[in-house]
Amino acid sequence: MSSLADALGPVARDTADGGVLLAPGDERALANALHVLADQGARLNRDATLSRERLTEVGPVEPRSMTLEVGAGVVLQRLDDRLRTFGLTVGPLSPSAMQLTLGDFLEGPFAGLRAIPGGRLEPLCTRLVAVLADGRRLETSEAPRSAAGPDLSALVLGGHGRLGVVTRARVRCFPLPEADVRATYSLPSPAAFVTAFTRAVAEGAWPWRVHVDPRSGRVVAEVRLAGSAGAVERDRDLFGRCVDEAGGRPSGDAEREGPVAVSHESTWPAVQASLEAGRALQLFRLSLGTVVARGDVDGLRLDEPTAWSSLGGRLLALDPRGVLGGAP
Amino acid sequence: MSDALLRHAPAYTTCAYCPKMCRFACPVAEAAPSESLSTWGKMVAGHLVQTQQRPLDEDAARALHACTGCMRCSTFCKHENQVGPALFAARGATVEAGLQPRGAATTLATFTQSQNPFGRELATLVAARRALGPVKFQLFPGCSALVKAPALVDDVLEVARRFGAPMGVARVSSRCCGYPLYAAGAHDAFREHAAAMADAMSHVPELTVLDPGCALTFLKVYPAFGVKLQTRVHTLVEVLADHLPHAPATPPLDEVVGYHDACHLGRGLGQYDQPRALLHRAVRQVTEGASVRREGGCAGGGGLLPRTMPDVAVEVARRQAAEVTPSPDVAVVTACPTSRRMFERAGKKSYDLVTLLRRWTEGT
Amino acid sequence: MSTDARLSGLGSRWGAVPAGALPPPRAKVLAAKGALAEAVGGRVSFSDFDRLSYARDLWPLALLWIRQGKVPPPPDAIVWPGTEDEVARVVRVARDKRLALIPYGAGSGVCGGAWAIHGGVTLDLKRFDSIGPVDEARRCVDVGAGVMGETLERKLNFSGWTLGHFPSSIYCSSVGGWIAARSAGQLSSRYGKIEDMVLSLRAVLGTGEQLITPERPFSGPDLAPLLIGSEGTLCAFTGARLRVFPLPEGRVFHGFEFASVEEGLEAIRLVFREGLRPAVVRLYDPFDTAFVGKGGKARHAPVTPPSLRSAMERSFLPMMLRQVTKQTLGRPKVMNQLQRVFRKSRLILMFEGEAKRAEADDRAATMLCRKLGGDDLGEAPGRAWLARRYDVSYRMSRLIDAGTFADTMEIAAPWERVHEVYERVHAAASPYAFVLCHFSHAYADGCSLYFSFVGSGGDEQEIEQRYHQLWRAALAAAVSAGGNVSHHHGVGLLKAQALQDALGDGRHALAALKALFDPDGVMNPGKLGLSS
Repeated sequence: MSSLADALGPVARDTADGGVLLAPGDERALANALHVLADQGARLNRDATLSRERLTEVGPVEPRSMTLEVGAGVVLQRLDDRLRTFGLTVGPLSPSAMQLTLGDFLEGPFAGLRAIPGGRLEPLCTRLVAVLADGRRLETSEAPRSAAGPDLSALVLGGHGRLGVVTRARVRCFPLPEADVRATYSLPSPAAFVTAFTRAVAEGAWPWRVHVDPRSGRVVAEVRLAGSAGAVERDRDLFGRCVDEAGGRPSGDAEREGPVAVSHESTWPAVQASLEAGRALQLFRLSLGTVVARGDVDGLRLDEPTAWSSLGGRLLALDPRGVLGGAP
Repeated sequence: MSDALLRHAPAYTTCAYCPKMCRFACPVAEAAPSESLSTWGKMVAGHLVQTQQRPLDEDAARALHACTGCMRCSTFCKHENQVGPALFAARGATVEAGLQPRGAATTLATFTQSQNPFGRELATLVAARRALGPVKFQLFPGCSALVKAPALVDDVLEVARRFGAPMGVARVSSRCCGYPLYAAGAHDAFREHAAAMADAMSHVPELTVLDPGCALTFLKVYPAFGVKLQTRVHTLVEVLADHLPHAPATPPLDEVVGYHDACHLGRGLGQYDQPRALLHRAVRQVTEGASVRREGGCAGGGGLLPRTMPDVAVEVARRQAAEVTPSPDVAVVTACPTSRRMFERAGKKSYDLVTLLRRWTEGT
Repeated sequence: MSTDARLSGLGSRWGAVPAGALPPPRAKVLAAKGALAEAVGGRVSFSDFDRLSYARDLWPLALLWIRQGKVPPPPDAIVWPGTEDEVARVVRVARDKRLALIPYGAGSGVCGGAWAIHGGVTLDLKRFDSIGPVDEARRCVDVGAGVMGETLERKLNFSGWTLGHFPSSIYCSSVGGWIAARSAGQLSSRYGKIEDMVLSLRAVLGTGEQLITPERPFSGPDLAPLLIGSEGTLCAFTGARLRVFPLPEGRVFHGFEFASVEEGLEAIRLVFREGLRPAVVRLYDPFDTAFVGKGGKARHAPVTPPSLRSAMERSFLPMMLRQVTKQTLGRPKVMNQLQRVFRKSRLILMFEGEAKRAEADDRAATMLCRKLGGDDLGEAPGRAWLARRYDVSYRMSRLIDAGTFADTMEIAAPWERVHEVYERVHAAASPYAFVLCHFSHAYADGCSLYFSFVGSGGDEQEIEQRYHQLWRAALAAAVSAGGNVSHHHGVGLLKAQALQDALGDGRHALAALKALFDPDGVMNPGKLGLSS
């Protein structure tokens, strides 16, 4: 066993490629491991790799608030499968997000964000528990919203685990849709598509995903709507009116498979530019300002960490020992 | 403590305990962004003086004088608190303590000497515009127009003639209405002046008043000081609006202008429709700001602010001009000589409504 | 030390001073006069009257003191910077001379966040008053931190837009203050809280660095949520890019009466579970329901302006009112027991936006409410509410003049805990004040509880003592029942200890942020429980 794995004790093991895998089972174990790493002058993400394989506990569902406590190592797709038995779902996340663990979704480029009806973004979790670089525990409130000082969960969300490592969180769910329909529209231009769809989202429509394809001078968009029968009906009516006002019309086109490509977080103008260049896109997490887009589009890559904004880098001073590995 | 302060005590207390619900509405506080000059800050000064919790000092005195009396705050007050009159009453304490801001003190000194705030002999100015023949209406231009904008008085006389409402400047116009005394806090002197003025006006059954500040003083402030006028007082815009059907059938000027509701004409006397009726006949397009009529902004000319805090007064005017129309090419029109002068001082192209009416009726 | 003694000491901990005899400015601040003046182009004041004006925000505790001729400790000086460079220069002076800096918007906070408990320099940011043109394509506007809320909303409305942010303080609060205290407006269920509207922030840190936070998408942690809600302890906000919405084309109101609070809460929960987002959702507890009345048409009640009141109205009636108040609100437990005879609870919903969608959403919500036994009251209660939406703030003057204390406490909890929080806070506060509550700012997973307290006592000392007892009891009950410390009023001094307790180990993270962004501890020391 390597000396580092040895020092870390039972929470660590050597890997086939000569590395060290750190797999704590709770916050205390993780905090202890961070202290050991610091004592050894070692860094997570460089000298040891974090695994959340032991952080997979799933708590009971709170049916009224539709929340439940979930270990950060649970893969979202598996969580969603399990939630179905309770009549719940994590809601419309992108396919790539669904393959991530809860921890990776919260800490990674997705920053744990999802769109809610009305087009606002909010974290998938309400309360989260994390271990910060100094080994201390951060536990945020489970209240839906707060004005009690700064939102300290921002130290973790999108932080790539460099400021704190999330161990579990209270996940907010939606009722499992009772209706799931697709509606297809043909619009005269990418600009008309963006106008119609941003308006519909702002007015309360909640599309689960959109396939959009610029074809022979028009844009064909197929939207998937899911929810209660009434909600789906209201959303379909709203989309119809917004599309109509933008000069579009319903279209009989069947669903087409969208391009399999990298996911980006993109702005609506970037989406429009991409459509104007004749590129088909799949859109997820449609919000007032940004979307998750699969296809050839400008934006922030979501499948791998990219360099931080300089301001985010200022926060690395909160890990003076560098035990969490510094900026990606 | 003076009776005036005691009478307004509930007004001061109401504001002192209030969560500043008119904070955004005070033009002075927006132009000179200090809490001390907010309606709340000024009324707290009144409260502290009235309750004798604090002796009056120069800064508190300055705050008590930092009000144009525009009454915009009262529009947003569910208590309908009359902040302007309460602050003007508290200015009496600054007179007694000799702590008036310089501009107010010099105005009082000038007034004492010449019975008007300009130190000018008004009788000569009036005599030059007395009607030669019979007139239908006696005009009271106000000393501000007589001294600062005599051409405006000529515009009034000409427009009135063309509207079939010939006017001549009333002899009584050689006296000031006394508003500067009221605004400076010399309330005993004001009461005395008002009584004398009422006496001098007693032989004039009906008077048409150009300056809304003078009209407000006659119609609202005199009665508040127990002075009763036997004269029926109308504003110029009232009379002209009544005679609009007799105006020449001239096409409107091909211009776009912005309209500013003068505070004393609008909130003070409730005259919002008459000037608009006149203006919409005279020009092709009239634009207005986000806040109009009862909620409209102030041009900074009232309450002696141009004399006590000239820079702030000009900033008030600059902001209101930008509110009415952000375009430098569009002139602001108002039915108040003082407001127009304030816009001019703020570098904004502006017309008095009557001047515009004259151009319209003359087709120029 | 007895509880009462500790509590009565609470007020004096922050050193109320006689309004008529302020302590002179501290020598070290006076010594920095030249440097401060140079930093802000001469816009600095050490005058007692200005210090008095900036000594308090709208924390009702200060009103009790004002009634006694006292004020909170004043700042030593006030500065009015107009550019970010000037703010940065002031921060450098403060760091150099170790002066406390208290960022100040419009002073509408209700928790003492703008109190100068360590003296120092109040940094009035109202000169940051620019409102840019609406970027219609991106639906946003650049606004200075010093812009007053109502001024901004009117400007936006004039060009066909709305921010959708309508706190009851909108007439007296600034954009910077909203951001500093994580404000929420009455229509937050549709438009979100202020943090949902902020696309980007402009601020000057306690280090003197100027920054503009990036807009999504970007990589790495988001600095904005760490600054929003920091109440001046980390930075001074100078401006923001805010999301705007087109003015709603339609608006639909609906009122319902439920047999109990529990049923009303269940209705709200199901409305949000269905994915509906009413702009307004307000459920009044039984006494609030009876107290506020059924709504009806909003009428303009005749008012006698204070200055025009007769001598009897000025002195005799208020004196009588004070006596009656003492006898009634001075015995709040009895009053609170009496209100238990009321059972029904009224809900107001308002949908707005695209007209047909608003109507469809209203129909869906109506079906849910009726299914739960809600009596349909039609649109009148909602319309009446809209007409009187800010009136409650005007009541403060009369309540204070009548010899009471009055305050509000806003907290949030997940649906599982909402009713228990309501019951426990009600019970805990009952010995000290008359208690009303409504539930608003709803989410799929919970909502906010907004308590109103009115109390009195035999004399000013007893009143103040009860006020402190009330807060300790109510906050402790709220947190122990699963509520949080604040939903939208912020923390300031009032809830500082409660926040630190609630944060647990997380308080070290907050302290670390403070050390990073304000290494010399000059920014609004003592607030959020952060020491200087």
